[in-house]
Amino acid sequence: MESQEFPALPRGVRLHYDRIREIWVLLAPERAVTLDAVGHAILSEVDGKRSFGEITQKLAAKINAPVDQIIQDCTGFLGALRARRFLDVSP
Amino acid sequence: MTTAPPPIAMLAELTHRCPLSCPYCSNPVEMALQETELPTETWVRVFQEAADLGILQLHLSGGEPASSRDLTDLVAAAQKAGLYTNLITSGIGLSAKRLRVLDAVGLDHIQLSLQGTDAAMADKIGGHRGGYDRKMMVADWIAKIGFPLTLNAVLHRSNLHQLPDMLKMAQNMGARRIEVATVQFHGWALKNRDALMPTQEQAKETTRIVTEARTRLKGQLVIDYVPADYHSNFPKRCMGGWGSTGLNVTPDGQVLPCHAAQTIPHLTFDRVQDRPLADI
Repeated sequence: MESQEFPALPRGVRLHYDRIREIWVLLAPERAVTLDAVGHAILSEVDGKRSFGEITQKLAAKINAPVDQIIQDCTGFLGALRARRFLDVSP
Repeated sequence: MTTAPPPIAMLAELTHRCPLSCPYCSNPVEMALQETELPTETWVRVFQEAADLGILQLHLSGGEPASSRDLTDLVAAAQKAGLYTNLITSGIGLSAKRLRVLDAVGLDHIQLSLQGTDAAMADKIGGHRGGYDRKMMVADWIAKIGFPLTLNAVLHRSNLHQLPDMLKMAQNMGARRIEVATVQFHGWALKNRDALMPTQEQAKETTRIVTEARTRLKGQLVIDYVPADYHSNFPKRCMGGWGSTGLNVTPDGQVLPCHAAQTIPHLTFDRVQDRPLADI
């Protein structure tokens, strides 16, 4: 994913707090994906309005980590969601 | 004592009535009669109980769920309970207006069945003349509204050769997913096994097409694949393990571990009219 691209959750894919298991999940068509703290932190920044570059900058500042590492993690995680059609990416 | 983890999905068979009569129908051979179908208020209670139990995904199925007059109320109730709501339909019984109302009450996703890629095949399998043309109209309305769509193609000896066209059709309809489900032999399909059983060549060719298409369509169309029964070296897990992650409620209120459980003789099942879901 390029820094000037905009990731967004498409219709039918949403974050959901599972109050029974006390975890965050990503609900998608006929799928539920358990999110760890990292996954939840990344998706909480995905709003369709901010670019991949802005998101990774913000996450790096937030958790005080090298931005290259954040980019690598986000690319892997969001890329996997994109391959499953759980994430749209627009230029 | 160990406790099973709470299920994440519930299949609600609202009715066993359906305008189609596919020879592999997943409903039991002894279908529940309309007079025994649960009233709306019972479903509403069960949806809330399911959510309280940890169910995340609700699949509204049948029969044809669009044959239920209270479908809209049930979707609204499921949304109120916080459930991700999926409609599993042939499309028959849905109008543009009804789809807009379902959109307004918050339906999350639609799974549309596909019996074949042309009217001659589809209507022969479904036994409902005009069904294919109607389904194509419904697919168009679904796309216009923007519902996320999965196509569910059940494949067997007569229509396996149409798989490449089915993949194209899914893309043309804007579907994100397609389920390529080779017929599984339970209930009705078992009775019609001789006519439905794919040849070994067909089973192999299907796996080849799916493998190739998964690479070619990566990021565009997700392909879920149920390989042919009887053609692997070892038997699969019971229903591929559905019993451990989901549960099924029949039109007359019986709670099953999966939709084929009634084919096992001598088992009896609790009913939601008699006990809360959490106790079952």
